[in-house]
Amino acid sequence: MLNLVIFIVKYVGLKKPSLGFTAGRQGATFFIKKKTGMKKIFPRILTPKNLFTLAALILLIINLITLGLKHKKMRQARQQIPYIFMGYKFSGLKEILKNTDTVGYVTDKNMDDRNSALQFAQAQFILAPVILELNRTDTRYLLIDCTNPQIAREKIRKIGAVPLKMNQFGIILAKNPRPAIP
Amino acid sequence: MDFLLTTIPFALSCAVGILFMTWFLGQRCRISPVLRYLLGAGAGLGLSTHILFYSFILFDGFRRGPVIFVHLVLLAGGFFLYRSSAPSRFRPTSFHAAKKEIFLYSILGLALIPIWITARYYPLGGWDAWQVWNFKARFLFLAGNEWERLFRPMLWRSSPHYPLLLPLTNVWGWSLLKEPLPRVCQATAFLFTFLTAGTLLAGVYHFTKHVVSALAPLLLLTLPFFGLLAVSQYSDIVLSFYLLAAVVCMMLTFTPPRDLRENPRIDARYALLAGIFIGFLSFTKPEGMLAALLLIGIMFVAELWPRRQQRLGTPGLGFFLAGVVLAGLPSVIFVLAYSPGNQTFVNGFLSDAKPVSCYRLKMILAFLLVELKSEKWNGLWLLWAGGIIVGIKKCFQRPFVWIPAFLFLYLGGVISYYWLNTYFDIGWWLQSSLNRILFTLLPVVALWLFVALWTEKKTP
Repeated sequence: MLNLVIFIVKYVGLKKPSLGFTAGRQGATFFIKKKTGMKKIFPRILTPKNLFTLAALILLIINLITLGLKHKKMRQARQQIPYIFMGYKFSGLKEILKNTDTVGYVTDKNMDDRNSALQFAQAQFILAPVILELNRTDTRYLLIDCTNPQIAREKIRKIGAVPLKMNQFGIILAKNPRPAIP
Repeated sequence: MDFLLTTIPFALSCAVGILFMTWFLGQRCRISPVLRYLLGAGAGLGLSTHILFYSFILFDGFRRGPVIFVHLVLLAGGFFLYRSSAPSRFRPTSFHAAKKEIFLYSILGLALIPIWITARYYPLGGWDAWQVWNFKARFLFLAGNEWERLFRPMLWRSSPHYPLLLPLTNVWGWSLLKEPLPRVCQATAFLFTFLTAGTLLAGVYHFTKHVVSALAPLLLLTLPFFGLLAVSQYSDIVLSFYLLAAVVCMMLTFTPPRDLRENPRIDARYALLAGIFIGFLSFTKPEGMLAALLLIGIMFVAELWPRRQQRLGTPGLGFFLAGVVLAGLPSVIFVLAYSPGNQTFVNGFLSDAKPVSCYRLKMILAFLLVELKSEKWNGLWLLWAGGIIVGIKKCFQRPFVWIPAFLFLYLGGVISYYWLNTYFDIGWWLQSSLNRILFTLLPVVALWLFVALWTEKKTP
């Protein structure tokens, strides 16, 4: 950098040059003081748009680095735990519930818990256009999703429903013999 | 085969939009072909959702035949208009003349690769994708003539009051398939990400003619959080695109071409386009409705501003309003006839159980500041703030001053809503939604800053 300045100073032929810096409405610039006035070396080098471009380029580099790291992390995570969509637990029920309007989703799980809410949302997604109504027990079909089989059995007994099917994830499809809605 | 059947509906929509856009803008079109195609594709996709919406009303459910037939008729009509108005428009552009643009769009194409890779990691999108947007799409696709059950208040978790532009786009994407494949939703998200980034690049390049235009979409596409939200299959990227398209068209309306400078009337074609994109915007999300209302208001204020030299005039304003009404009609029908109203709303000013408080407002404002400097943005909002500071005069000069006014009013509206609606715990609500509000504004902020900083002369 110093060599460059000396070269420029020699090139413009100044005997006693001194370097300076100024900022104004058109942006900042470096200049050389001459006896007769000032001569710009790098005209308008620090204009708003140049400063902004420089900052944007730095941010772009940061973005690219973080993007690379993020992708590496995602790839590793997917290799360790494959993508699981909890709603697929319910996909086997689609045929049975084909002409059903609303199904009661009976559970003892805390729906403020992220995983329970996630499973309910994904079940609703997979079973659409069947509407799942949380803890409603007067529908023809009921989905019983409890923390353990004993609680599930107790719920079924209380409602007076007939269990029809249980899948490998412990979710029970039961039929209500006295439904209020189809 | 499935891939082909997935792409045909979207290709058809884009082709219809591009043909009509080219015919409508005609011989004296002053925007580049790329910008025209991108806006045309976006308008075509919006038009398809409107056709679907009206078909649901008319035929009481999803009927593939009439919908595909209308699209084919429109394609034939668009092609006829295109050929009859300008048969020689297929002139190839020389490579030398377009090499700068080819270079820019090649960079954009490369930057979209990480977005595609991210999309593959989330084949079914994020939480709101399966709870709200894709659920609605599946419901509309599978429910037959019981589609109106979707608007039952008991489905409050799926926000039945949200407009249907994204779900209907996905239904249209499935129209040649037997079952609702998730890859269509992935393709929709990717398509709108591409349209947003492309329109941003083409828009900035149109106004600046500088290679630095590439930086605007690159900064967004390389930001991991932007990529993640873009491919989450939410309606935010759709809102972002239509907002950007509306803003670009309004900028084109407010900055007339040089040969029309003597004419006090502005080219009203872009006013009509702005109106159409504002209409589509209102059908994306409730926030889109707010943005649409603000943009309509801004158009009127700009028209009535006493010191403006160029004016739309009554016919121009009529064009604008015609666009708004045409494209905004489904939103009005939806709100009046189908929406069950917001089931998750408690007016904090009237509620004794959940009243508004100063603490809530303070928390919202503090959270906004925390969010803006959150590390998930990699300092992007700080860069925007820096850009505004170093180019404060340029950013707030006359042709652009309405953009910060819009941003300010929009954020003000959103903050007021957060404050007023006390249904949700504010901490959770801000954490899960404020980042998406900011995400939708990113392309518009980028457009504003890049154009303002790189515009050399003040446009009269």
